[in-house]
Formats: sequence, C-alpha cells, structure tokens
Amino acid sequence: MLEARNIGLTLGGRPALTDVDLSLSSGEITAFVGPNGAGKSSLLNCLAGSLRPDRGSAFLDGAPVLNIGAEELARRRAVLEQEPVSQAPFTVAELAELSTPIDVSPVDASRLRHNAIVAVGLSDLSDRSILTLSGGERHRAHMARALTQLAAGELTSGTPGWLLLDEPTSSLDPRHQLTILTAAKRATIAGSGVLIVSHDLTLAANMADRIALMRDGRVVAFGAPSEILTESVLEDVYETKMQINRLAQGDWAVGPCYS
Amino acid sequence: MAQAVNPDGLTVRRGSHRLTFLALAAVLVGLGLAALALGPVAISPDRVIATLFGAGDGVESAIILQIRLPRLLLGIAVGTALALAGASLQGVLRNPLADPGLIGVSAGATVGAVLVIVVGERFGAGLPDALRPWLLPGAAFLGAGVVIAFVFALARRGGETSVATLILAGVAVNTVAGAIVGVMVYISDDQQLRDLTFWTLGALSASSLQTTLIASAIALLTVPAFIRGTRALDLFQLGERAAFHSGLNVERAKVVVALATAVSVGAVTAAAGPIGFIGLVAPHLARMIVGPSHAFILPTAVMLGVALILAADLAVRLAVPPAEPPIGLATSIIGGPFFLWLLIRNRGRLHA
Repeated sequence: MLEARNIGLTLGGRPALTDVDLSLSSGEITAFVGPNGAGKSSLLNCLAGSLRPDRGSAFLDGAPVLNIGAEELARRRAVLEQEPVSQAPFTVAELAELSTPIDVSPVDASRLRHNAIVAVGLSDLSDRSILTLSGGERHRAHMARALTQLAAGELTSGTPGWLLLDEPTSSLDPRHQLTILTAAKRATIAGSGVLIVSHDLTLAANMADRIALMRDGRVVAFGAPSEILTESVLEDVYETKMQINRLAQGDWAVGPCYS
Repeated sequence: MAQAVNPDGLTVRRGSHRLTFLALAAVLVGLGLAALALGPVAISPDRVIATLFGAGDGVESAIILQIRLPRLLLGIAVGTALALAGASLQGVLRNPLADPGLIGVSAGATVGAVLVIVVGERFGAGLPDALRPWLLPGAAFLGAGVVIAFVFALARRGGETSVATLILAGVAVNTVAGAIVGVMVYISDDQQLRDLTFWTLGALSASSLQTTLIASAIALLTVPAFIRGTRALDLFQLGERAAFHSGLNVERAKVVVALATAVSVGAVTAAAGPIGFIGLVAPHLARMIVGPSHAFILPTAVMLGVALILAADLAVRLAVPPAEPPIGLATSIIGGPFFLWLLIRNRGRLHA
C-alpha cells in the first residue's frame, strides 16, 4: 500500500498540497487528474520520496518513504518523470538498463530490458542513440527504463512494486498511448501498483480502477470512475463546461464541451 | 515476435573499446619511454631499459632515476587526477564545460600552496619534521576544498546545479586567487620568488622529490573513489531527480566527487602547479571516442590525460633546450582554443 497521510506542502510561497490523505492499492491503476497546478505531480513526487512535504508523510507498506534509503526505494518503486532529460547519447538498450539495481545479474538485466523494450514497441530502435529519436520515442525509451527497473526490483525483492508515471502519454500518438497503458495494466495484473498522472480524462476513466480528482492542492474526490465522474463535479473542478458519454461498446468519452 | 531486441547491443560496444584501450596503452608506453629517454641529454631506449633494471652507468642512473622517473610519475599522477576530476565534474553537472581549473579548484589549491611557501615557514617551523612535507599538499587540499564547497553551494538552485553560475563563480575565484598570488609574489624574497614562478603555469620538475612522491601517492589513492562512481555518473545523466528515483543517493555522490576532486587536484597542484585544460579536454575526447558510459569514459580519459600531459612535457622539454618553458603554456595553447570551440558548440546548453 502506498499512502499519503495528512500531507501539506508549500512551493515558492504557494500552497501546493493541503491535508492530502490517500491510500493507493497494489494491483490497481490509480489516476491523478485535475487542472494545471492542482498538485498532481507534487503528490506523485512526495509518494516517490523525491519531494519532502512540509507536513505529514508518504508511507510505503507502512514505512515512511523518507526513511527508506534511495537504493532500497528504487527496488520498490520505479518512476517515469514528466520530462525525462538526458543529453547523453545512450542507446535505447543502454538507457533501458540504466536504472537497474547493480546486484541483478547481467543475464537477468538483459532479459528484463529486452521485455521492456518489446513492451514499449521499440525493438527496432534498441541500438539507436536516444538523441536521434523523436520526442515520443524517447519518452517510450524512458518508459522501458522504468519498466526494467520495476521488474528488476520485483525480482530482487521478491514482492510486487510500484510504477509511478507522470504524464506518460502526453507526447504519444493514440496507438502508443495504448501500448504504454497496456504495459501498465499488465503490471497491475502481476500484482504491482500503478499511479498515472494525466490530463486525459478519457484515458483515466477507461483505464483507471480509481481516480483521485485534485484541485488547488486537495483531493476533492477519490473512487472508481463510475462513482465519482459526474459532469457537475468535473465542471466544478475545471471551471469549464464538461461532458461525459458512455459509448456503445462501453468506453468512456470524457472532455470539455466544444460547441 | 517479428524482430527481437539485439541481445548484443551492449556487448558490441564493449568489444570495440578493447582496441581503443590497447591503442592508447601502446601510445602511453611509447610516451613513457620517450619521457625517460629524451631531454637535454638523450639516452637510447635500450640504455633506458637497462638503467631501469639497474644496469646503467652513474650518469644515466642519476638522470633517469632521480630526475626523469619522478617527473614521469608526477606526469602520470597529474594526468590521472585532472582527467578523473574533470570527467566526474562534467558527469555530475551534465555539462562538458566543467573543469577543475575553470571552476577555480586549481586556483584554490594554488593559493593554499603559495601561502605555505611564502608565509608558511613561520607556522611550519613549529611542526614536527614528519608532518612538514604534508603541509604543502594539505594546504592545497584545503584551498581546493574550500573553493569547491563554495562554488557548489553558490550554484545550487532548486535541487539542480547551475553550470553557468558555477563557471562565473570560478571566474571570480580565479580573479581573487590571482590577486592573492600577486600579493604573495610582491612580498616574497628572492628564494621564495623562484619557488613561486612555476605556480603561474605549472611544471613537472619544480618540486622536491619528497613532495612529488607524496602528491603522486595521494592523487593515485583517490582513483578508486572516482572509479567506484561510474554508475552514479551515468545516472546523473538522467537529471538529479531521476537519478534519485533510480536508486542513487544524489547528495552523497556529489560530496564524494567534490571531496575526491579537492584531494586529488589539491595534491597534484601542490606538486606541479595549476595545469589548465587537461580536465576539460581529456574527458571530452574520451566521450567522443567511447560514448556516454562512464565505465569507459573514465579509464579512457585517464589514458588521454596522461598522454596529453606527457606529450606537453616532452614538447616544453625539447622546444628550446636547455631552457624549459612551463608545461601549462603547452596545455593552454591546445586547451584554450578547445574550450572556445566547446563554448560555441554548447551555446544553448550553458543556460540549462
């Protein structure tokens, strides 16, 4: 279980998170949605241990994440950053293996990297320098890195881990959005917990088991999509006219009203 | 699966580096032999080898064992220290413009050493004899340590380190250090002045045998600290936050690099003076040859750094005999334009 208990955070004089209490369960996809500046990424980084809240704490299986060392933490959760930076000309294969703990054997590491690269659809480009890739391809290469780290951590610790994804699909075409989400879904089936920060309400409604709707640093609603998604709640949060449609095959279509 | 991931994607690169290492090692052996053989008195390679095995005559032994061998050892230590410090700083900061000289670390070490030479006698006289040889490298380490702590603290902003600020801080530190050295030159007597002259541009032959041996030993002892950090340096390429997410204790890794840099650059500067640009040029060439993985960059940079130092030392030794211009003159003639070229190539990235 990954929990936020009474988390408060001020960034640059502005309250970024206020009284956040939240429990994420393993084996599920949880989505954080909400307007720009709602605190989604800040909360993800608090849960990941890379941001220290001013009040409250994040807990991983009952232990405060800030008390867990960086190396141990990396075995139990992998993170895809919102804007991965790397100006070094690693190949896709080298990048994918970069975050793997050192005690994983080369044979295991290479197998896990291989699986991750296949899962993000970059098999053909595995020997290419990431600097020669498009933005979306590079993002998928970093996703392969996070997937490899997750699998390697689960292999060495023997327990399912957490995959924290900060806007994993925003630079991707529809087909590859689905590729990434399928990989995330597969991780939950294997027992891992997945957190996705996204602006894509349709994606969240269709893929997430639970949605945390955030606004001004607070979680204003938390539950299954069918429980919390109503046009009036969304209009309140986004201050914009919104529409929710269930399509014939059962898919959700959620977004602003254009006309 | 229609296309499999090439399982040898990583090993192919590793294999091709073996040739690079062998070629560089051959160059180094050649330069090392030349460093022992060439100079005002030329000694043939077979006599050099004979002398190394104890079969040389009195003159050959004196020249090779007491003058050229310590000089070669110091050259190896200087090239190693500057290359490792430069490669590690560039790795931590994700910027090819970082260099122990440019950010003022060498200047800090110089000030420490110059203070010891000019005013240290008064304090050094009270020290037990066993400690006195350590005064110079100790002071150089302190100077280097103070500067690196200062510029890193100054350049820290919002969890990342600004390289533009770091280099500007280095400019300021270099100016202040130049002024302090100037004052020391002004108040020093004739003997001290002779000791000081090489501090402006460095030399491999100006220190006592004892200082040379101590400094080389200290510098070479820091090598494992740098080499153990290769994975950390790779992870730094992802940015500091992602490096932490990947399991790196970022702050500790930075302190290790800063400390190892202060110790090794302090030590070699104490013995050889501030030798510029090797820490900039060697890692950059290494990156161009072996790619982005620091497990290959560091050893390659060391070999290139040592090769550049030995070549520069040979150049100044042979240029206008029997006079010997400072070695820093040679490294700066190559390094200065190289730095300018790097600046032009990286204009956009300095602001990052």
